[in-house]
Amino acid sequence: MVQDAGGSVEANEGIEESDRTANNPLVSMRSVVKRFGSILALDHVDIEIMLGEVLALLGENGAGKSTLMNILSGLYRADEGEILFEGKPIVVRSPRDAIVRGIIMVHQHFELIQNFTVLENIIIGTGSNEKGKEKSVRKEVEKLAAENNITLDLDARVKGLPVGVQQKVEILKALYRNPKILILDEPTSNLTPQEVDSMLSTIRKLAEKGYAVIFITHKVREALAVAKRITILRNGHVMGKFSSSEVTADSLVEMMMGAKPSSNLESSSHTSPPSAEPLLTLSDVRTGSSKGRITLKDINLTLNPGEILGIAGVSGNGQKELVEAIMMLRKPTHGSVRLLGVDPMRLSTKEIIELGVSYIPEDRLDDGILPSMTLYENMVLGSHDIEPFSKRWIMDRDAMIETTRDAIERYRIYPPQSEARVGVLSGGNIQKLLVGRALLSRPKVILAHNPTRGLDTRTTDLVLRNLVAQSRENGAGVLLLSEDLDELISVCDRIAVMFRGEVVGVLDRQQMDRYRIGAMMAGGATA
Amino acid sequence: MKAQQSLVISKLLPYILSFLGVVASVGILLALIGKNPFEGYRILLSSSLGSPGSLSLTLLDFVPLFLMALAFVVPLRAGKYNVGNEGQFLLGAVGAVTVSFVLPNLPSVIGIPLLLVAGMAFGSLWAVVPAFLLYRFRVNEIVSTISMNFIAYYLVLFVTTGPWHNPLVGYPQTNQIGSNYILPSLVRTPQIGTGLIITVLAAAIVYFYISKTPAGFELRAVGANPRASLVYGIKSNFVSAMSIVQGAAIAGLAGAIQVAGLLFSLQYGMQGNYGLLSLVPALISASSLIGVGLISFFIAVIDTGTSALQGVLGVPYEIGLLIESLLLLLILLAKGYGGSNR
Amino acid sequence: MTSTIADFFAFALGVSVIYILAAQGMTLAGRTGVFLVYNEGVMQASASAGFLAAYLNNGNLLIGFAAGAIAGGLFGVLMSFLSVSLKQNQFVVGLSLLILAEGAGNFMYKAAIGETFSPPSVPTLHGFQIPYVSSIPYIGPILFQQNPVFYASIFASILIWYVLYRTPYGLNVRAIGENPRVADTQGLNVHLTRYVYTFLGSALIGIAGAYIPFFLTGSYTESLVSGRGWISIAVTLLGGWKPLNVVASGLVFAGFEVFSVYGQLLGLPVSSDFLLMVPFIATLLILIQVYRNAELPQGLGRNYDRESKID
Repeated sequence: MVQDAGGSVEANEGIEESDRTANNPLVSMRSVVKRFGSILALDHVDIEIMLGEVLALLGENGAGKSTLMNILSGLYRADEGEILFEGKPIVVRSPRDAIVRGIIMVHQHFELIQNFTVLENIIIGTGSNEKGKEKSVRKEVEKLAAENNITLDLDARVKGLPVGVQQKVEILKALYRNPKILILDEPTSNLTPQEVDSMLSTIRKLAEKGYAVIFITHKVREALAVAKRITILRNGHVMGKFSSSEVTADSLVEMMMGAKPSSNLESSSHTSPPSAEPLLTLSDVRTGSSKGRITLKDINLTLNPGEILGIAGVSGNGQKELVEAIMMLRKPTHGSVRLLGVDPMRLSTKEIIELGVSYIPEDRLDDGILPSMTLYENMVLGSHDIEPFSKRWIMDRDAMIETTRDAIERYRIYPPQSEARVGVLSGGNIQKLLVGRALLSRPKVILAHNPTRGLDTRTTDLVLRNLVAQSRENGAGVLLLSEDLDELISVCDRIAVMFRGEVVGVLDRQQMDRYRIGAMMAGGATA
Repeated sequence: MKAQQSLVISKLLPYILSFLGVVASVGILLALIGKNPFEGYRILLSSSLGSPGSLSLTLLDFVPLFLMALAFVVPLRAGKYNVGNEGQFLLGAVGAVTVSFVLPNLPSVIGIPLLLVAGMAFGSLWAVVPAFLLYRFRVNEIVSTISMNFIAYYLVLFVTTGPWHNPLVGYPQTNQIGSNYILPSLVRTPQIGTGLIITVLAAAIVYFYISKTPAGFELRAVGANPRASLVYGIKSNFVSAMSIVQGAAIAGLAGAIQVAGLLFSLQYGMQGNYGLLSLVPALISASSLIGVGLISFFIAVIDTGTSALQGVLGVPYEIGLLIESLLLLLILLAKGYGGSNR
Repeated sequence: MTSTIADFFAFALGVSVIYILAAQGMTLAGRTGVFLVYNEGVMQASASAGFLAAYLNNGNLLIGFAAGAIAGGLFGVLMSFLSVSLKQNQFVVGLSLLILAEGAGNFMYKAAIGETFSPPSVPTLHGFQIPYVSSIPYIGPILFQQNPVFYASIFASILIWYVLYRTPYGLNVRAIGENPRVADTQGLNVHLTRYVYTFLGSALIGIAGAYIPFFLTGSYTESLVSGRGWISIAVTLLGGWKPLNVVASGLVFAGFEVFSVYGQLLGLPVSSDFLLMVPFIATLLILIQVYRNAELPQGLGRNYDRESKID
């Protein structure tokens, strides 16, 4: 067994133990190398997969976990290395090659067709909805759902189904394909703590039934809770392979990150002078209905100077609509808003920005960047027509580049070239760009929507530190909308929980508890 | 330094290869229909570039082609396909003759600028319809601007057969505009008219607008990502709708110059193939206006040369369209193999 | 007067074949995610290919239609190669091929026939009298004395609808147009399917082009298509990329076209130039309505690259 030089030297009994029980791995990937352009995504990676157990692939975002499994499931081709299936080398050219061998992957970004029904999504590509067979197929799917304690309306359109339900559709869709190996890519992201528990128990049961389950995650706690073996990836290298019974959470974190986790951020709590006027007040705000979007129902919120107000909620419960209402991208139809001392209802988005509001949108690629334009042009988007970037109807290229150089240095953006096209940046670097842009002009209010999603720990830390600094040092109000409860609990002064377009409760620091917030996120309890 | 040189070469390589590919395929095409390819090349080049006189012809063709390409490029930078530049061109021509017939006695100093402005205004107004439909109802601009083209054809037919019809010609055509409205030519051989000067000026203004002004930045931002532009305070829908109107002003200018500098009247069918041909430089080189100019000139050469080819060798004039589309397709092919896409 | 009305509708049904076939072709390709914009040019090229093939084979229209289909299909292959395989922007490729097709149509004709004083011609399509029902007053002449291609196009439309919306295979095809990544991860062949449907769709557009000389003129002219290809895009949009709705919207647009011709015969007090604008003005007005409740294939117009960045 090849161990990475920098990896663990602990001999791991876990593997020997499972070797004894299952003898040979069902699948081994040997010495897999994958490059994207000049970036080495996987560097001679080996893993083994056994029937009847859960293998956790643990690593930070960008460590190469999904890439490795995309190779096994046929979506990507490896540049080097081999895959052994039941001891014999196989070639996986396309997802079909993987599917016929029972290798099924549930991707992190849901792979469901929004315009199709649940049943249609489940049977795509299987060729099993022939006229005469339609009823038997439906029965089969219903039976499969019942066996796995999944309740679903098979004729509902996927569009508009809650994320948790879509996750269930994904699992059922995978099971319908008779898998031997089930690959689940971050299946717990964006679930409430209660849903996470239930998902983890589903995963355990699947392994007991004899499936080989690969659980891709960056959450150490979940890996330890569910997996028998844990393989750690970092920067495309295997850092170690362990039996979960013989490692501690701390040692796993250290191996994942390559360093001890830096000090946490929660220490510097904030007390705002009660007399200060809130930066933002929403009173009974509602928005009109539009296709596929949540309507806000009587939102009441205040954001004080120097405060970080968290918004918790399962994705799709009105968070995006809330920030869009504040940015006047989606005008409220009812209620009133007070923003930085003015009534913003008649203002344009541009005027909102000019008031001193910064927005870090959730959807980086669609809402955040101009991929075919340069870093410096992206950096000034939103302030491109004001000083110092524009003077008397002419843009000042030097001023743009100078500002961008500063941001590149401060936020460690790679590649560090102002003239590079943003389309070539990685997700993390795009996020640093968006943060840099948002903090360009000392904003008074910052709306940050999932600003750390998909980032590694270092970058997450960098982003959160900068947001916290804006509130603590400059007195900015930060509205932090996040799917990561731990993150919210660690930095927020208060957390508001959203469910189906409503704020179902606002908790202060003493009241913050994962499970309590989780229950509220599911609509089950109120503050 | 050396690395930079090879970078330039690797950037130009697809264009050079495509050009050679076009030359070769034209030769094959000529041979296939029984003509001597080398004779064909000779006629093509000598009739378009061989003498000051033929260069004048090419430059006269270059003016509307380049302006029409610009009329397509400006909206294209905002992500919109203004395939209606032909109709806008015609309306510009209608605007030009309207000025000259309604105000026949203006001195040139006032009259000519007025004629040009009228051309731009008529062209823009024609595009307000698809622009409004895009802005208000999100109607696809390809279909709507094309529809406006056809409406323009019949409008021109109506005007050229109506009260301004020239009874001396058996063709839908208006009377001549007054001599006070005719663009003066500055140099005789090769003839360089005011039209060419205006065209170069217009291109410079477009360049400045697109790359140096905040409004041009917004145009490009909307083209790169309309949603992100909106989120950061740019009125994306308005910018993209207006880009069509702006492009249309240039197309209208082209129509007015064609009337005042070359035809001296409004003629049915005067748009020729300018609409189609103008797509080629714009699609090949949307990001560089110099490239648009160079390719427009290349197309003017082909367009002028193939007219002669038809006259002398009897090769169908449409070989020009084949050459131009082949160039475009080969460049797409080379870009595809080079791994770049838009 | 009554016979004029019957004539009007009978003629409209005949014209509708152009729109129905071309729009059905766009729908086929569109349902797999490929947006064809080159109808106007491809119809011109295949009208030329079809006419020449028929003319050189003693007026055999079947050979003519086959040639039209092949010509159209060839453009489909080029379209797929440049956009599906080489990932070039679909609109850019489509417009480039449109120019090529416009040139090729007239070039082929002139190279083969040359300039002639009176153009050569082929016999046009004959009405096909369906026994018994064709003699029903009004309805008979309108519905049951059409040419065989009309019936074939209706049949083809129903077939396309059935395959796309009522078979497991069709579900897979539509999945590719909705979300190629999903289809790919489920083991479907995105590229091959797009090739096949772009080819088939373009062949249908080719048949629509060949139908124009065979139905309307009997001979080839440079302005044979004159905007019908563009209108067929509007037909597809109005039909919402759904095969049966496309038939209905094809009939509507054929009605406008025939109205602009009959308006002159009926002596409407409007200049014929303005009557000729009617189909295009109608297009503009109808498009306003279309985008209100459009449900396009979600992957329409976008190329799919398996290894592109997901996040």
